[in-house]
Amino acid sequence: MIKDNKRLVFILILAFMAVVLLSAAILIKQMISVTEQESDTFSNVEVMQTRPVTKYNAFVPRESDTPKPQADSLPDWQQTKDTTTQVVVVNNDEPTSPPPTKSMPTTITDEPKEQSILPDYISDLWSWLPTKQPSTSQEQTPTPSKTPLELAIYDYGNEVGNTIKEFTLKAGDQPQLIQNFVDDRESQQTGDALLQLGQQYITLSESLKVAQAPIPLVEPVTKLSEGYKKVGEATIALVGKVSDKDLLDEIYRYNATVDEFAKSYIKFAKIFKLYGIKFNKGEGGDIFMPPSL
Amino acid sequence: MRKYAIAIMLLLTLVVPNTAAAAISFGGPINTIIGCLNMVTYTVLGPPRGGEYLWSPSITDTYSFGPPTRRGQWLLGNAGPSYFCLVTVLPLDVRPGWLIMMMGSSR
Repeated sequence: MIKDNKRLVFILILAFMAVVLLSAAILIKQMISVTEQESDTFSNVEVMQTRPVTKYNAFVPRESDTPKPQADSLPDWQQTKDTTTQVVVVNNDEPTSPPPTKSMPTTITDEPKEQSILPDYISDLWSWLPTKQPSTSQEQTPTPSKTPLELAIYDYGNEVGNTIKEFTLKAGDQPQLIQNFVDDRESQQTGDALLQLGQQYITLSESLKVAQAPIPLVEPVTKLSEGYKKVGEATIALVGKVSDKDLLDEIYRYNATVDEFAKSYIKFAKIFKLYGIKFNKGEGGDIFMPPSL
Repeated sequence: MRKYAIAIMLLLTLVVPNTAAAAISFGGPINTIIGCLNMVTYTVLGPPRGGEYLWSPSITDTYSFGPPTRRGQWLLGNAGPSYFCLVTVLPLDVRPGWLIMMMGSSR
């Protein structure tokens, strides 16, 4: 009986969790659709706001495209006498000259002050405006916080960081591989492991896309790439050094190579600080950020 | 009931990515600390992101509160390629570890 009760409670908990998950999924879906609508509206407004006035003129049809209104087809309000301007010819066989083209509003905040005399498809321009206007804060946000150069540096930093992280994961526990070699220098297996590690460093240096680097990062990333290659070669050079003396000499050379590499690495990392670029935890470029305690 | 709970825990363990695998970032308390002949400091850190790390006075970009000094002190930072700590030359005793590029420490 008690066992049945426990099972029932467990089933109820599972059902409750399922309902909660389902509700969350529906809520997220709704939020996504609302966000998409807002972003569409927002992007429309951004285009309209940033579009130069001359672009608006593109909506005004050429004279040849403008249907010349026939007297018969003129609406009633146009056939009446205008007290301020010239009299519109009514019931004349000659087609009337097209009405003066109304200048388009220069900003989207301008309201039409009188009824439009333009053809419908031009008058309907107002209907092209998004019905849902963004809030004031949204109107002020279109300017990105980063300049194009800063954005390029940020993206490149993430790319390089991800490449290095991938390599680190692939290469495994490097100190342990080296310790295994030091402990058993004549072993083919430990030597091969070091050779493979060195080769992976060389591959890493080639995979850093130096040619795509933004200008401020070209020199630092070139040195970083060369540094990785030298570290790879120094790692390979350790293999075969069996005697203590030979290995010690090679370790001095290896450490000197890593020293040089480390300076390049830190110089590369400081470029981001110089441009005020910060990477969040989990982003590729976070390996270039100083620790935040 | 317990079996189900264990099964759910295992499933979650498999589904949630193991972020600790990125070895280049580290952080943990010092379990072992050794001063090396070549002026670097060799430390073995405990979890959450432990391992063998070497602090170099000439290379490591060190932030508050300075270099590793004692057991129990926490270190946090990023490390690069392996480096050698020379413990003794005759007989040759070396300890490889990750070279710390930048780090901060607890008091």
